[in-house]
Amino acid sequence: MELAVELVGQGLIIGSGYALIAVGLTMIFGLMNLANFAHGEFYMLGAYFAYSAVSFLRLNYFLAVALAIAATMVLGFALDRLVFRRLRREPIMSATMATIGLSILLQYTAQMVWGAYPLSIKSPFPPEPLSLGPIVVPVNRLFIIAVTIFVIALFHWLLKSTRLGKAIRATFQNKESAALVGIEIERIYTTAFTIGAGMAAISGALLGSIFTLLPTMGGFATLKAFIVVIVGGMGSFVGAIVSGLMLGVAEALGAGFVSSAYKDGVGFIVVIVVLLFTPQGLFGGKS
Amino acid sequence: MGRAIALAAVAALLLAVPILFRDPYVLHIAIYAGINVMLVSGLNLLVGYMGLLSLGHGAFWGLGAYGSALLAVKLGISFWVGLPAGALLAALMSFLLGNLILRVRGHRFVIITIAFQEITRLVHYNWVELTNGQNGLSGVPSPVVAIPGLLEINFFAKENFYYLVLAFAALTVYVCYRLVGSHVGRALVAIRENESLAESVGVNTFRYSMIAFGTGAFFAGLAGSLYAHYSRYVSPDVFDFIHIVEMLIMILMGGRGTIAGPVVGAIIFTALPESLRFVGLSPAAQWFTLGLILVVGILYVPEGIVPRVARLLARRRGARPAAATENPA
Amino acid sequence: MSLLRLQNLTVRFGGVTAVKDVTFEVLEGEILSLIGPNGAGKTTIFNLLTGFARPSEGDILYRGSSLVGRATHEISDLGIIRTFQKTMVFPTISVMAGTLVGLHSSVRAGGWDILWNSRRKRREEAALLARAREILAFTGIADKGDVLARNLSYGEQRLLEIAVGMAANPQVFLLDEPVSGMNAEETARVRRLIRAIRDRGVTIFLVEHNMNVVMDISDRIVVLDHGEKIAEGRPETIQRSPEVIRAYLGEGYERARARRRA
Repeated sequence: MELAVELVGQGLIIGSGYALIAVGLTMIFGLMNLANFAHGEFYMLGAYFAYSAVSFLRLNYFLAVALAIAATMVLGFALDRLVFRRLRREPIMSATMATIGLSILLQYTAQMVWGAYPLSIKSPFPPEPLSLGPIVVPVNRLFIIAVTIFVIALFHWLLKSTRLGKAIRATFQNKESAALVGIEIERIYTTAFTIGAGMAAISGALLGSIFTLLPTMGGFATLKAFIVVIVGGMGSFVGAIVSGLMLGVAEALGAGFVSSAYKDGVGFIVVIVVLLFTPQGLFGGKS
Repeated sequence: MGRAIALAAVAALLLAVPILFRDPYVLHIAIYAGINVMLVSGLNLLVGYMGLLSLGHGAFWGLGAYGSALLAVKLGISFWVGLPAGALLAALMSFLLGNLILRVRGHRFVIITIAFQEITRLVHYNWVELTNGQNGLSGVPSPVVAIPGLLEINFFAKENFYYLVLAFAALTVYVCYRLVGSHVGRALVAIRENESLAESVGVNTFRYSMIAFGTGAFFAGLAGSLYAHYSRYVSPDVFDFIHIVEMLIMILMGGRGTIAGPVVGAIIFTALPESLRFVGLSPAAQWFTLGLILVVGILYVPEGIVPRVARLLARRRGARPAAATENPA
Repeated sequence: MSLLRLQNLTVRFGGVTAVKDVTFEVLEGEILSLIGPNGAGKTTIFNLLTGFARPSEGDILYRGSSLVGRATHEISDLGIIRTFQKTMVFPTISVMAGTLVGLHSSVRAGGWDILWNSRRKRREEAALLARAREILAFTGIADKGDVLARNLSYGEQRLLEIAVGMAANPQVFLLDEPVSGMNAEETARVRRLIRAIRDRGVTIFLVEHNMNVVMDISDRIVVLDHGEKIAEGRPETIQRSPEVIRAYLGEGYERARARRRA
């Protein structure tokens, strides 16, 4: 029983990472109908930028994370302007393949810059776990959950209460109408892409303090993010968050109780089943 | 007439490769190019002609490789049986999978194909008793033809294997060419262009998707078997997503929706990474370059090399470029 | 002779009843028009007939056998072909290539013929090309054979739609707003074309808003409003029907007209 709780706890951590990445991807998917296969590289770069900020710039962890997020968002902005903007009118397959190419490019750039050996970011938190009633939680994991909740709440506030958020929601619902009322669609796209990149970077920088960094971690994250987005319903933020958490927990439980070798298979089988039987995903409305 | 001469010249050149290039390294690249031609010609039926981005093609290649290799290594079955067996295994899997997923479209289809390949990889990686896991299967024998007194060929020699691959690659291209020049090819294109309209004039989308999917899988399986008996070793690395990226680059840069495009793409992009290696680039730098080429290619030469060259030639000859059709039909 | 019978068709989705208990027939060889204000359910009827939608209740009989539940490509094999309200073409292939797609159902070549490029296949391909050229000439776009569909003008694209539909060898040709957005000259051209198609023995079932065209070429007219059939008959009858006038122009107009007559 304790094992199950422990596993669920671990699953929630990873799940929250999935959720963050997936929310950004949902926005990009929903707004621009772009299957961004390079999305996971933002996660990867968030982690690696944080690593460099800590190791080479000698910044403290929190500043390093902030810097990493900013740097990744700048990169996301640049990529949208340079590459994706030119592909908006092309058939979906062209844009999709371009993202695959970008994914390769970014992954191997990382490998050339940081090498192929696993790296790690030293966590700033004390290793002694906190006791919250019956559960024992390592401090850094608490931090990750706290930040994730904060970021999602911030994102929610952004969407609901700011002009930008309203413009994004309007464009999400109906591009033509949004354009008619004067919303500059291109700016919305670029902004959304940048925000999406930033959220993936946060996830990377946070989880980078627990997991090892490898240049291939981006491709992995992309795959998981897609699974989450699709299972959750491709236009639904709530769906992305809930599915992300569920996937994390399902994988953790699968690894613990069934087999750690096939734990990734859980996600893949889930996605196939969900896609075949509920075409809009669990929460999706419009597809 | 001009086309027949050009084809004859190309055929003669291809047949003469082992004579012109004695270097076994060149033959090695040529053999891989041939294997890639088989892979991407089949995949192009789906990606180029039908417009369906199937990212699980590597699974069929790997199934053909493992199927043929396992039969040879564990049961001592001859390559000449293992080859069609591997291809049929791949085709069967595509049939089963296709029935499940070919009614789904768009991004969902893409993700499912990725998931399918990943699951296949996981199974081959972890089912150690059968596949030897990550250590892979070694000792896969080279094909041999042994009719005592009449004919004895050992395909261990690169020149011989080259001709074997050349024959199957030519077969693959021929079959694709015929398919594309028939109502099947027109149906695939129609589905890509406007699926509802195609259905409304009698095109059974599911049936033709299955034909394209199965044909592609069959040739991928053939290619897999050839690959296994050439390298004499198969590991779960055949299921790596990176191979799909390679295939996409070949199709995209070569020219999707044409027959010659993937062939040209396969040759160029089999030779290119090797040349990059030759020039001293690290594997990471090679991949970086390929990724860069893919992105730049999509931005600047979206239709691919073969159609672009064809357009330039047509313009030189004075034909109106605006009226040029996309496919030979 | 009744070719198509729509029986008590009802379509409900998401709380909306798009079509309610609609019954009428399409007679062989006639030009039947379906008219009604926007949102009346006309295109839904077409969708039902061609397998793009399923009825919640009711049946559709074609030469006596039911069409409900059949796939679109099956229905088109039976001879029921449609065009769409929104212009639908195969954008990046040529006009000729698109018309050849329309001929898909008449192809008999099999796997072996294709692989060996047999004489049978070559002869069939030649015949298909000849038929395609004939259809393009009939429709009036013979000189556009090599042009990509997306490079055609709007009017030419609409003609291409008809050509592709004709290639599929219709017994009943469902035309969804074939002259919408056209100028007088293009409209006249299509009007002549529709008559010529009927003269070839094809039954025509037309949805259209252009009343001049409808009144001129229709043998009979069915009127829908809010998903229900409110009138059926010859053009003269429909023009005078108070229900139809009310549906199009509202209660007020009908009452005013009645007062003026009194």
